[in-house]
Amino acid sequence: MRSVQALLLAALLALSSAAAQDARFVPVEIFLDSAQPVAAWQFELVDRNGRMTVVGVENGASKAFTGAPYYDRPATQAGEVERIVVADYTLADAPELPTGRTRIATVHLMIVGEADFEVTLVTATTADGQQIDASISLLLASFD
Amino acid sequence: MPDRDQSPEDLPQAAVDALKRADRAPAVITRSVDRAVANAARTHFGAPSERRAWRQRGGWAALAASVALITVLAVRWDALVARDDRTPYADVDNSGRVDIADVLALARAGAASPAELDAFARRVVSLDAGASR
Repeated sequence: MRSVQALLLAALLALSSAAAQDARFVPVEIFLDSAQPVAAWQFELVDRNGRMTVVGVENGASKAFTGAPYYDRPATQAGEVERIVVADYTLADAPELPTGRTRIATVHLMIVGEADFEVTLVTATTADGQQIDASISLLLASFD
Repeated sequence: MPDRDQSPEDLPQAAVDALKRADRAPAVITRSVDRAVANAARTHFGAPSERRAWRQRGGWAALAASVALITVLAVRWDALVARDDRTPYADVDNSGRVDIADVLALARAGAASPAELDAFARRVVSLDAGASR
Protein backbone atom coordinates (compact mmCIF):
# COMPACT_ATOMS: atom_id res chain seq x y z
CA MET A 1 0.00 0.00 0.00
CA ARG A 2 2.80 2.37 0.91
CA SER A 3 4.59 1.64 -2.34
CA VAL A 4 1.42 2.57 -4.27
CA GLN A 5 1.17 5.84 -2.36
CA ALA A 6 4.82 6.57 -3.04
CA LEU A 7 4.31 5.89 -6.74
CA LEU A 8 1.28 8.21 -6.84
CA LEU A 9 3.20 10.94 -5.03
CA ALA A 10 6.12 10.57 -7.43
CA ALA A 11 3.77 10.78 -10.40
CA LEU A 12 2.13 13.94 -9.02
CA LEU A 13 5.51 15.53 -8.38
CA ALA A 14 6.64 14.68 -11.89
CA LEU A 15 3.50 16.19 -13.37
CA SER A 16 3.73 19.39 -11.34
CA SER A 17 7.42 19.67 -12.16
CA ALA A 18 6.67 19.31 -15.87
CA ALA A 19 3.94 21.94 -15.61
CA ALA A 20 6.25 24.30 -13.75
CA GLN A 21 8.94 23.80 -16.37
CA ASP A 22 6.43 24.54 -19.11
CA ALA A 23 5.36 27.86 -17.54
CA ARG A 24 7.33 30.85 -18.73
CA PHE A 25 7.21 34.61 -18.31
CA VAL A 26 6.78 36.67 -21.43
CA PRO A 27 6.78 40.45 -21.68
CA VAL A 28 4.60 41.54 -24.58
CA GLU A 29 5.46 45.03 -25.77
CA ILE A 30 2.65 46.95 -27.44
CA PHE A 31 3.51 49.61 -30.01
CA LEU A 32 1.27 52.31 -31.41
CA ASP A 33 2.19 54.04 -34.64
CA SER A 34 0.52 57.39 -35.12
CA ALA A 35 1.26 60.42 -37.24
CA GLN A 36 -0.65 62.61 -34.79
CA PRO A 37 -0.01 63.21 -31.07
CA VAL A 38 -1.85 60.60 -29.02
CA ALA A 39 -3.71 61.66 -25.84
CA ALA A 40 -5.72 58.50 -25.26
CA TRP A 41 -5.48 54.92 -26.38
CA GLN A 42 -7.16 51.61 -25.70
CA PHE A 43 -6.31 48.17 -26.97
CA GLU A 44 -7.37 44.60 -26.40
CA LEU A 45 -4.93 41.72 -26.19
CA VAL A 46 -6.35 38.27 -26.78
CA ASP A 47 -4.79 34.86 -26.34
CA ARG A 48 -6.83 32.64 -28.61
CA ASN A 49 -5.59 29.63 -26.65
CA GLY A 50 -6.64 31.22 -23.35
CA ARG A 51 -3.39 30.18 -21.69
CA MET A 52 -2.13 33.54 -20.41
CA THR A 53 -1.99 34.79 -16.85
CA VAL A 54 -1.44 38.53 -16.55
CA VAL A 55 1.31 39.30 -14.06
CA GLY A 56 1.19 43.06 -14.54
CA VAL A 57 0.97 45.91 -17.02
CA GLU A 58 3.73 48.47 -17.28
CA ASN A 59 3.45 51.92 -18.80
CA GLY A 60 5.18 52.74 -22.05
CA ALA A 61 8.01 54.95 -23.16
CA SER A 62 6.16 58.28 -23.30
CA LYS A 63 6.60 60.62 -20.36
CA ALA A 64 3.12 61.99 -20.98
CA PHE A 65 1.67 58.73 -19.66
CA THR A 66 3.30 58.48 -16.28
CA GLY A 67 1.26 55.94 -14.33
CA ALA A 68 0.44 52.32 -14.97
CA PRO A 69 -2.31 51.96 -17.58
CA TYR A 70 -5.84 50.93 -16.65
CA TYR A 71 -6.74 47.25 -16.89
CA ASP A 72 -9.00 44.88 -15.02
CA ARG A 73 -6.60 43.99 -12.24
CA PRO A 74 -8.99 41.90 -10.09
CA ALA A 75 -10.11 39.77 -13.03
CA THR A 76 -6.60 39.15 -14.29
CA GLN A 77 -5.25 38.37 -10.82
CA ALA A 78 -7.90 35.69 -10.43
CA GLY A 79 -6.07 33.46 -12.92
CA GLU A 80 -5.92 32.61 -16.60
CA VAL A 81 -7.82 34.97 -18.87
CA GLU A 82 -8.58 34.86 -22.53
CA ARG A 83 -8.25 38.59 -23.05
CA ILE A 84 -7.28 41.85 -21.39
CA VAL A 85 -8.32 45.41 -22.17
CA VAL A 86 -5.72 48.10 -21.47
CA ALA A 87 -6.24 51.85 -21.75
CA ASP A 88 -4.81 55.17 -20.66
CA TYR A 89 -5.26 58.88 -21.22
CA THR A 90 -3.35 62.02 -20.41
CA LEU A 91 -4.10 65.71 -20.03
CA ALA A 92 -0.54 66.64 -20.95
CA ASP A 93 0.03 69.43 -23.44
CA ALA A 94 0.24 68.54 -27.13
CA PRO A 95 4.04 68.95 -27.44
CA GLU A 96 4.52 66.25 -24.80
CA LEU A 97 2.24 63.74 -26.48
CA PRO A 98 3.86 60.84 -28.32
CA THR A 99 3.89 60.63 -32.09
CA GLY A 100 5.35 58.07 -34.48
CA ARG A 101 5.99 54.51 -33.33
CA THR A 102 5.80 54.45 -29.54
CA ARG A 103 5.74 51.66 -27.00
CA ILE A 104 2.54 52.41 -25.10
CA ALA A 105 2.56 49.45 -22.69
CA THR A 106 4.26 46.21 -21.76
CA VAL A 107 2.00 43.38 -20.66
CA HIS A 108 3.84 40.90 -18.47
CA LEU A 109 2.41 37.43 -18.85
CA MET A 110 2.94 33.95 -17.52
CA ILE A 111 2.15 31.37 -20.16
CA VAL A 112 1.77 27.65 -19.83
CA GLY A 113 1.96 25.95 -23.19
CA GLU A 114 1.55 27.83 -26.42
CA ALA A 115 -0.16 31.21 -26.69
CA ASP A 116 -1.73 32.69 -29.80
CA PHE A 117 -1.83 36.47 -29.40
CA GLU A 118 -3.87 39.04 -31.22
CA VAL A 119 -3.82 42.75 -30.41
CA THR A 120 -6.57 45.10 -31.55
CA LEU A 121 -6.63 48.87 -31.31
CA VAL A 122 -9.96 49.94 -29.84
CA THR A 123 -9.32 53.65 -30.03
CA ALA A 124 -6.61 56.29 -30.23
CA THR A 125 -7.45 59.97 -30.05
CA THR A 126 -5.83 63.35 -30.06
CA ALA A 127 -6.13 65.74 -27.13
CA ASP A 128 -9.28 67.27 -28.59
CA GLY A 129 -10.86 63.86 -29.00
CA GLN A 130 -10.34 63.36 -32.73
CA GLN A 131 -9.97 59.73 -33.77
CA ILE A 132 -6.52 58.86 -35.06
CA ASP A 133 -5.91 56.46 -37.89
CA ALA A 134 -3.14 54.61 -36.06
CA SER A 135 -1.79 51.09 -36.20
CA ILE A 136 -0.93 48.78 -33.34
CA SER A 137 1.51 45.90 -33.12
CA LEU A 138 3.10 43.66 -30.50
CA LEU A 139 6.55 42.32 -29.89
CA LEU A 140 7.21 39.22 -27.83
CA ALA A 141 10.33 38.93 -25.75
CA SER A 142 11.28 35.86 -23.77
CA PHE A 143 13.49 35.26 -20.75
CA ASP A 144 14.25 31.67 -21.89
CA MET B 1 14.67 10.47 67.31
CA PRO B 2 11.10 9.13 67.29
CA ASP B 3 10.07 6.46 64.80
CA ARG B 4 7.95 8.06 62.04
CA ASP B 5 6.28 4.77 61.18
CA GLN B 6 4.82 4.10 64.59
CA SER B 7 1.04 3.50 64.69
CA PRO B 8 -1.45 5.82 66.52
CA GLU B 9 -1.81 3.14 69.18
CA ASP B 10 1.83 3.71 70.01
CA LEU B 11 1.44 7.51 70.34
CA PRO B 12 1.69 9.06 73.76
CA GLN B 13 -1.70 9.34 75.48
CA ALA B 14 -1.50 13.13 75.53
CA ALA B 15 -1.17 13.27 71.77
CA VAL B 16 -4.04 10.83 71.27
CA ASP B 17 -6.28 12.94 73.52
CA ALA B 18 -5.37 16.13 71.66
CA LEU B 19 -6.19 14.53 68.32
CA LYS B 20 -9.52 13.29 69.59
CA ARG B 21 -10.40 16.80 70.82
CA ALA B 22 -9.55 18.27 67.44
CA ASP B 23 -11.68 15.66 65.68
CA ARG B 24 -14.93 16.43 67.49
CA ALA B 25 -18.03 17.72 65.64
CA PRO B 26 -18.12 21.48 64.91
CA ALA B 27 -20.26 23.78 66.94
CA VAL B 28 -23.82 24.28 65.74
CA ILE B 29 -24.20 27.36 63.46
CA THR B 30 -27.02 29.36 64.90
CA ARG B 31 -29.32 31.67 62.89
CA SER B 32 -27.58 34.73 64.31
CA VAL B 33 -24.20 33.40 63.15
CA ASP B 34 -25.69 32.61 59.76
CA ARG B 35 -27.12 36.15 59.54
CA ALA B 36 -23.79 37.68 60.54
CA VAL B 37 -21.95 35.67 57.88
CA ALA B 38 -24.56 36.66 55.27
CA ASN B 39 -24.27 40.35 56.22
CA ALA B 40 -20.51 40.17 56.07
CA ALA B 41 -20.68 38.55 52.62
CA ARG B 42 -23.15 41.18 51.40
CA THR B 43 -20.86 43.94 52.60
CA HIS B 44 -17.84 42.29 51.05
CA PHE B 45 -19.44 41.73 47.65
CA GLY B 46 -21.29 45.04 47.56
CA ALA B 47 -18.72 46.76 45.26
CA PRO B 48 -18.84 44.11 42.49
CA SER B 49 -22.60 44.42 42.29
CA GLU B 50 -22.14 48.15 41.65
CA ARG B 51 -19.68 47.31 38.91
CA ARG B 52 -22.21 44.93 37.47
CA ALA B 53 -24.78 47.70 37.46
CA TRP B 54 -22.32 49.99 35.71
CA ARG B 55 -21.64 47.26 33.17
CA GLN B 56 -25.34 46.91 32.59
CA ARG B 57 -25.59 50.65 32.01
CA GLY B 58 -22.63 50.40 29.58
CA GLY B 59 -24.31 47.53 27.78
CA TRP B 60 -27.46 49.55 27.29
CA ALA B 61 -25.42 52.48 26.00
CA ALA B 62 -23.62 50.20 23.51
CA LEU B 63 -26.93 48.75 22.37
CA ALA B 64 -28.37 52.23 21.92
CA ALA B 65 -25.30 53.29 19.92
CA SER B 66 -25.59 50.19 17.71
CA VAL B 67 -29.26 50.87 17.05
CA ALA B 68 -28.46 54.48 16.20
CA LEU B 69 -25.66 53.40 13.82
CA ILE B 70 -27.88 50.87 12.08
CA THR B 71 -30.61 53.50 11.74
CA VAL B 72 -28.19 56.02 10.23
CA LEU B 73 -26.82 53.41 7.80
CA ALA B 74 -30.32 52.36 6.81
CA VAL B 75 -31.33 55.95 6.13
CA ARG B 76 -28.11 56.80 4.26
CA TRP B 77 -27.90 53.51 2.34
CA ASP B 78 -29.90 54.75 -0.65
CA ALA B 79 -27.75 57.83 -0.85
CA LEU B 80 -24.56 55.76 -0.72
CA VAL B 81 -25.77 53.42 -3.46
CA ALA B 82 -27.00 56.32 -5.54
CA ARG B 83 -23.58 57.92 -5.22
CA ASP B 84 -21.99 54.78 -6.68
CA ASP B 85 -24.56 54.78 -9.48
CA ARG B 86 -23.56 58.33 -10.32
CA THR B 87 -20.12 57.09 -11.40
CA PRO B 88 -19.95 58.38 -14.96
CA TYR B 89 -20.20 55.75 -17.65
CA ALA B 90 -21.51 57.17 -20.86
CA ASP B 91 -20.72 57.77 -24.50
CA VAL B 92 -19.56 61.33 -23.82
CA ASP B 93 -18.07 61.93 -27.26
CA ASN B 94 -21.00 60.32 -29.13
CA SER B 95 -18.73 57.86 -30.89
CA GLY B 96 -21.26 55.06 -30.47
CA ARG B 97 -19.06 53.27 -27.95
CA VAL B 98 -17.96 53.85 -24.36
CA ASP B 99 -14.17 53.82 -24.22
CA ILE B 100 -11.17 55.68 -22.86
CA ALA B 101 -11.82 58.59 -25.25
CA ASP B 102 -14.96 59.30 -23.23
CA VAL B 103 -12.90 59.47 -20.05
CA LEU B 104 -10.54 61.91 -21.77
CA ALA B 105 -13.47 64.04 -22.97
CA LEU B 106 -14.93 64.15 -19.46
CA ALA B 107 -11.53 64.96 -17.95
CA ARG B 108 -10.95 67.80 -20.39
CA ALA B 109 -14.42 69.18 -19.66
CA GLY B 110 -13.54 69.25 -15.97
CA ALA B 111 -16.92 67.73 -15.25
CA ALA B 112 -15.73 64.98 -12.94
CA SER B 113 -13.42 64.54 -10.00
CA PRO B 114 -10.20 62.53 -10.33
CA ALA B 115 -11.82 59.71 -8.33
CA GLU B 116 -14.80 59.65 -10.68
CA LEU B 117 -12.51 59.65 -13.70
CA ASP B 118 -10.55 56.76 -12.20
CA ALA B 119 -13.75 54.82 -11.59
CA PHE B 120 -14.90 55.54 -15.16
CA ALA B 121 -11.59 54.37 -16.63
CA ARG B 122 -11.61 51.21 -14.51
CA ARG B 123 -15.11 50.43 -15.69
CA VAL B 124 -14.07 50.98 -19.31
CA VAL B 125 -11.45 48.23 -19.05
CA SER B 126 -13.50 45.93 -16.82
CA LEU B 127 -13.87 42.51 -18.41
CA ASP B 128 -17.06 41.86 -16.44
CA ALA B 129 -18.62 45.05 -17.75
CA GLY B 130 -18.02 43.76 -21.28
CA ALA B 131 -15.17 46.08 -22.15
CA SER B 132 -15.33 46.78 -25.88
CA ARG B 133 -14.05 44.12 -28.20
